[in-house]
Amino acid sequence: MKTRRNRKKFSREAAIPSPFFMALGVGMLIFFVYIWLDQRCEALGRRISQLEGQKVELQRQVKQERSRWESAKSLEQVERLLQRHHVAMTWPDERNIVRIRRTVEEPSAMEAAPSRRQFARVGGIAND
Amino acid sequence: MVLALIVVLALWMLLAARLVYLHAFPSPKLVADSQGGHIIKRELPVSRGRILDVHGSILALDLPMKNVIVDPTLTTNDQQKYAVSMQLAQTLNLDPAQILWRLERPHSRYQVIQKFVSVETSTNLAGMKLPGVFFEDSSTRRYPHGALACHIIGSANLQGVGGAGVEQRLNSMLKGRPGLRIGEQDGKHRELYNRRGTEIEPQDGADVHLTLDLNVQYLVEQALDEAMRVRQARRVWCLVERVHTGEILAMASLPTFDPNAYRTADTNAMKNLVISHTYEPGSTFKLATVAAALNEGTVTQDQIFDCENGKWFFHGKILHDYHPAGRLSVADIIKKSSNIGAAKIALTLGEERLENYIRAFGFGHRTGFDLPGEEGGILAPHARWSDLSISRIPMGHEVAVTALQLLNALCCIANDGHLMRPFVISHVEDVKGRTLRRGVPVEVGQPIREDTARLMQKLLVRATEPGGTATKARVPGYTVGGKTGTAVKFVNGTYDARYNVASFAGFLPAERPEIGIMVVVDEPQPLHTGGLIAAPVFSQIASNVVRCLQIPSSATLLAGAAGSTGGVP
Repeated sequence: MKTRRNRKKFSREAAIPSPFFMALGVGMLIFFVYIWLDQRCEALGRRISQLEGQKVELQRQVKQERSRWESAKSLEQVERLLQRHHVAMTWPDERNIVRIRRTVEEPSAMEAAPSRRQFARVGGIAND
Repeated sequence: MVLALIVVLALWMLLAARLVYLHAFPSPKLVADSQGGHIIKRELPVSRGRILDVHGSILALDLPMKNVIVDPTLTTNDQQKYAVSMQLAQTLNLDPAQILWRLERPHSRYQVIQKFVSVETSTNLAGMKLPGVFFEDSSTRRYPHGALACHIIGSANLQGVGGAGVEQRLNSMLKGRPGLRIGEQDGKHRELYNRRGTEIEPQDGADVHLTLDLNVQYLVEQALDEAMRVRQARRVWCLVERVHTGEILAMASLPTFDPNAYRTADTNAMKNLVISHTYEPGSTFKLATVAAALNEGTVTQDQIFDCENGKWFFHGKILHDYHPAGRLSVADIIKKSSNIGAAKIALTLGEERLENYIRAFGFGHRTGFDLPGEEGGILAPHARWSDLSISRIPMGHEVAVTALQLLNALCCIANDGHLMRPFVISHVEDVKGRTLRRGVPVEVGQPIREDTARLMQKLLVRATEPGGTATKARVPGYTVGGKTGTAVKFVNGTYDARYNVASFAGFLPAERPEIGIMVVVDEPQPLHTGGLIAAPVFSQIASNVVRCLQIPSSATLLAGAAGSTGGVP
């Protein structure tokens, strides 16, 4: 005859209840997520700072180049360069200007050019 | 065993709970204690706005620079100090002894070695990793075109505050608003990027766009430079204005200064003579007198006046003409610039009406121009005039005006009697492209009728025709109208004929005036009349400016007006 095992006799209760492990696991998870987020924020912060530095540097370079370009294309500088390369330039004389003939339909020079316009606003202070 | 495990876990849990508590519900005292030394409050630098001409050429901008600083406590021994001073001196081109002197201050942690060093130089220095050397951000104002248009632009000091010109007038718009960053730093003074709290973005200064044309300005300054040299003049100044709108295209005074080195500039050179210097205008002022009399109908252009062959006694004092003449019409009084004729024309008006017209033309008070430092000139009320005043004021004595006032009055005549307010600031635009301020043409009055103005235009053209005083003001291809002026200067309590102010104010093309130009030469030698000194400078400037601005020649305008299909001169 087979003897029936007494399950109660062999059942062993865990030393720490499973809900405790679950809480611990959740806690660990939150901890690791916190650590990960912290690291991520740190990395993003570094990247932002790096990009800020790059932006400042690029802005500086743009300003520097603008200043150089303005100095390089200043009329005094252009004239100096022309002299250095023995290039003599002058404004064209009225006789040297070729004007394209107008047709009758087109407005005359007097009409085409800005007429005696009065843009003015009488009185009032629009400039301040 | 199990019990021990439970105890350990319980302790850990307590610790964790405490940490969570501290994190979630921090005590203000603890927070203050922990953050006291870690909070950083940094002002974010702002860039001052640019100043640009009508074509967008940059006249002024901010350039980022670095200040080189040393902390003497971080250089430990004499050998190190010597090495640092030598390296700094070599790179910054300074005296090593001076740097060494600064390094030998053990109680100081902040010694400025040099301010406004270029970023390239500071990068080189940073690469050397010199102990105790660090860098601060700074910026400096740069004017790429040097002295060109310096009196309009003005200058800004090292603190970024405008001290003259546009820089001063629009300082509040140019300077912008610095940003603010409040965050935390670690024990090594490194910023904790993820602990940034307040962050207010800096707002760069607005860009100021002028009506000034840099090409015209350059042509004007070149001509003035030559005039000053050839005529051995003390000072020269010039103004170019658009007749219909009052826009200023060029404004120059010589001597000039370089705003990049304004601290070493001569204070006299920093004065904008066009708006800040008043002088007795001489005969150029006659245009106001004659225009007033014609407008009131007290004279006609053909009316004859006896000009007394150049000598006329009035209230016991003699009045001379530079070119003596007998009987002259009103038209010829302008052409020959007769003082006696102008005085007699003024007498037909009377004191009160003459004063009213002069004031209506904008004399005796400021025009309301954009730049600071404008003078209003001197014009006494007629109640305080002497018996002689009615004969002297019409020829430009006993009054003081600025070149801006005089040219504006001439432009009023050229603009059919409409007096415009001159302006040089076109618009101000912030970094987001919003217009903060716009300069628009404003008519401030109409001292004379249109028909009087057109008649005056014709009379002023005669001054540049053969026999007139301003034949040297002529411009090939263009009809010019204008008036010469020669005023003896009042020196040491008396009028001294050795010192004169020669001037010419003109407009062109006379068929449809576009621009007005005024040239003033102070104390030219040996010649001194406006016709011989200022008129040729006007001609030189106008010849180039009309091409630069592509103003059609008189022949083209006449051909167009006649309905020609051609247009080729």
